[in-house]
Amino acid sequence: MVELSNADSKVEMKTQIPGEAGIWAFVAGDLLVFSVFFILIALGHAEQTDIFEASRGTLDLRFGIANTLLLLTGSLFVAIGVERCRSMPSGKNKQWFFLGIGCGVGFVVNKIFEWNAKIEAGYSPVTNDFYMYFFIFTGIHLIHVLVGLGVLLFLLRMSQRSSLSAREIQTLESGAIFWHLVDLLWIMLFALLYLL
Amino acid sequence: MNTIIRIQGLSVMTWAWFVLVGMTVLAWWFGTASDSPDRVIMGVIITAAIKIWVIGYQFMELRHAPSFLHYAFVLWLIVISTVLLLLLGIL
Repeated sequence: MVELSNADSKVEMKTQIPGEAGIWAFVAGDLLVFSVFFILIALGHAEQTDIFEASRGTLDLRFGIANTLLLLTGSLFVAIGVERCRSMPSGKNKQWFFLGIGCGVGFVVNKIFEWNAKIEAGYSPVTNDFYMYFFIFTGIHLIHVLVGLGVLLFLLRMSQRSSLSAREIQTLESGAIFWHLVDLLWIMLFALLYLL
Repeated sequence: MNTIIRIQGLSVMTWAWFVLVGMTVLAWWFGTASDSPDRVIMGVIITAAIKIWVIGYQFMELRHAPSFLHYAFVLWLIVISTVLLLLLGIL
C-alpha cells in the first residue's frame, strides 16, 4: 500500500537542486579526488595481485562490515531527520541527528580499534602498497567522517527550532548531503579494500 | 518536497536502507563465497555501484533534482565503475 503524508496536506514535488548549489560543486570535486584513489587501488591490485590479495586476507572483514552498516544507518537517520524538519519542524527532530552522530562516533571508534589491531600485528603504511593505500585512503576518509560529525552537530542544533526558513532548510539539506557523501565514498573504499 | 511517501507503512527511505543492507550482505557473499575471481570482481564493483546510486537517488535526494544533476551523477558512476572493471581486467 502506498500512502502520501504531508504536513500541509498539499502535495508538492518540485524539481529543484537539493541543498545549496555550492555543496554539489564540493561533491563533484571530492568524487573526482576519490576516483583517483579508487583507480590507484585498482591499478595496484592489477599490478601486484598476489600482494594485494594476501594483504586483503589479513584485514578483519567484520570491522569493514560493521563500519558499512554504521554509515548506512547513520545516513538513514539523517535523511529522516531532514525529511521531518521539512514536513513538521519541532524540537523532537533532533533525535534523528543525535542517532546519526552516534553512528558516526561508532564508525570512528571501530576504525581506531581496527587500526590499532593492525599496527599491533606489525602492519603499517610502509609494509607494502596495499597497506599504504589502506592507511592513507581510509585516513583521508576518516577526516571526512570527523568533519561530517561537526556538520551533524550543527544540524542537530538547527533541527531543534520549531520553525525553519527556506534558507535554513537548504543549509540542513547541504549538511546532510555532505554526510551521505561520506557514506557513498566508504561504499567503494570498502568494496576495493575489503572485498576484492 | 514536503511529501513523505510510505509503502506498507514504512517510508521509502527505510526501504532504501533495507536494500542497501541487503546489497552489503550480497557484496560480502560475492567477496567470500564465489570461486571465480572474475565473478568476485564483477559482483563486488557492480553491487557497490548500485548501492552508491541508491544513496545518491534516495538519501541525497537526486530524485527531486534537475535531470542534469542526476545524469551527471549516473555518468560519473558508470565511468568510474567501467574504468575500475577495465583496470581489474574484467572488461
